[in-house]
Amino acid sequence: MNEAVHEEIEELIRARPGLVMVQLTEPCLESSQQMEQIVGEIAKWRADCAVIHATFALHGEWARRDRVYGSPSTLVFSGGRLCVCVRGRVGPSRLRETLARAGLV
Amino acid sequence: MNDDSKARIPNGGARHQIVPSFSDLIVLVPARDEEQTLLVHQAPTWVAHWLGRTPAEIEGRPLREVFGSVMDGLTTVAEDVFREGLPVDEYAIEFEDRAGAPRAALLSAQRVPEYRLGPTSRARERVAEVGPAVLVRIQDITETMQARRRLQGIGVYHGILGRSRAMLQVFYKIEVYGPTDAPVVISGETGTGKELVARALHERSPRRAMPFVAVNCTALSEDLFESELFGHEKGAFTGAVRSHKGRFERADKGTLFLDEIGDMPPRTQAKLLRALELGTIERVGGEVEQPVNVRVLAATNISLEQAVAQRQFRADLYHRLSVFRIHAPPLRDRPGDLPLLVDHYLEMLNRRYGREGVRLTHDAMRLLGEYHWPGNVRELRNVLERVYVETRANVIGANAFTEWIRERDYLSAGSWNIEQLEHRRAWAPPLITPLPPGVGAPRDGETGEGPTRTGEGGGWPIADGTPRFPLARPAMPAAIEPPRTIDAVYSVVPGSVSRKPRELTEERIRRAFAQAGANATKAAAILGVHKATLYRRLKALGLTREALEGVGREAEGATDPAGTGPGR
Repeated sequence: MNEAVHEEIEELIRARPGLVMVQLTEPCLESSQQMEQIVGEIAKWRADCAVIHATFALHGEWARRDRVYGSPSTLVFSGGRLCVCVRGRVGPSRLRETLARAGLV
Repeated sequence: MNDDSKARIPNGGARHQIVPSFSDLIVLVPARDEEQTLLVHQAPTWVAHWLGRTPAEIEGRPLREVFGSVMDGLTTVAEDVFREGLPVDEYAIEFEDRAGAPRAALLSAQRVPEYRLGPTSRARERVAEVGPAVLVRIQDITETMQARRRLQGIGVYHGILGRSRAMLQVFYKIEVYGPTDAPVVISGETGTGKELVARALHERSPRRAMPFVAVNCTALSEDLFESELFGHEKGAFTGAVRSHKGRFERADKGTLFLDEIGDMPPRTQAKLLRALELGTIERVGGEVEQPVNVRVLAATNISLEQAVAQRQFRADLYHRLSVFRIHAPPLRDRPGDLPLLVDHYLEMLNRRYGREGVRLTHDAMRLLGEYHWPGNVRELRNVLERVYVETRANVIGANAFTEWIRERDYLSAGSWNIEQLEHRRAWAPPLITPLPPGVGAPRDGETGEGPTRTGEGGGWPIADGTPRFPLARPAMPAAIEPPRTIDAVYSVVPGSVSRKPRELTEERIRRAFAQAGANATKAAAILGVHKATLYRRLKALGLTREALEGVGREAEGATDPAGTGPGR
């Protein structure tokens, strides 16, 4: 099952020509719930941005490939390539600043 | 944790910080000779115990050596914070401690520029007396996580599988209603697990140590009902050769679950109401009323309100029972739970049949995700067992379900439609266009090759929002909007087709009839609803089938000028 899940998320990332933000969350944590909202808002700033909501329980193994071991985590892919990885809770301004530094917004 | 633990990590801008020994603070300092290596300067005792060591054994040792194999998350965060200088706030990691127990910790980390080592530090020999450091606040959230998951249903709650929002609501209601003594009516389609909900309510009640007695109201004839529910005395009727305890008596001090209560005969309804009102029962043929202390839970797969309106169910009994309501959602309303259920049943089948690692392919999962599931979880369990037994290989593909799909098509026209499937397969464009080779650098541990595409050309509906196998929910191009948010866990956010009858507008119905060549079954399939639903909607909209057949034929005439098409 995990392989299918990994393949699925990889396909999603590769298929999207624009920006893909993978939001790894743990539903029972407040910090995860807050980050979901923040990422959702940030995603609106780019028309070609898609957000994938994934839970660490299901996609944790996949995330470990990028040295992501916890949640909330925000992985930003552009053209299928990982450009930014933000761990933990961050404010909208810092997230935007991080994306701007990577030339994504 | 003491009060100090609530203190914030000191401001990194302050000079020559000597940080007090908080009980939840890990202090990491870079080695003097090897700046990229962080050493553990200080760690709480309980954290050291997670690692199977004492603080003295880990202080002064390299971070990776101490935490690396157990808490990769902490090591990575600390190294990144040290390298990049950006703080990390409330990052939850889960791992198994050295003894194999599951643990969860919440980390907040930041780099301070000038940290002064204490005089007794074991790391003094290898680090500068004053220099940068990483302070990691670590909180043990294992119990909190477990408690929240128990409530929020990360997987299993009293034997009920689910983590979708709909199921979380059910679990929440069980938590709230369970400890009360009030009756609960559990509604839901067949196969949605109403009895499991009832059992969970019993388990969450103070009556959990007492009996849980279930009665299926459909399975009993009217003649037997009273005797079964309230018991009978010897000689009460022909064949009553001895006295018999009824379900009410057997459930005394416990819970009585009345399944399919909508099918209860009217005469028994009156007696049940009396028993509930007075808290006493009288055996058939008996002369003594005996007190019973029973909590009643009832389940129904029909609308009790409608049954009351049609005088098939007593209004007074309805009001007596409907103190609390729980609706068990159908499987189609919680697609995010499908992978969890599939995993669970495959594991169960592996155990039963002595096989290992049997799994479904991506395509097979998607196929199941597109089905309407009128039989809900029970149907899923049965079909999985069938294909599991029929398939020898450890990987079950979409083709293994072909025969089942065909059978379901006959059983429930409109839920699956082979013609529609074939038609869609023929014209559906590839939904995901693989990027040209070389685009995007390969990630760690990858070869740079894209994922292998198997079966009928996989892909999620990112490109244009059209499902690849629009069987149960065929896409209506006019209604498609490109999804902005893709939910990888709960499947794709739909937004293309609604199965809600109210959203079946006259225009959509007319268009479907035109597309289906005036065939109602095909039109229902195009709309993604059952034929009966379509007829009900036609009636509600005041449309006649004849009028719509005219539309269909006109459309056919327009596309088939020779008049040789079907229906002619």
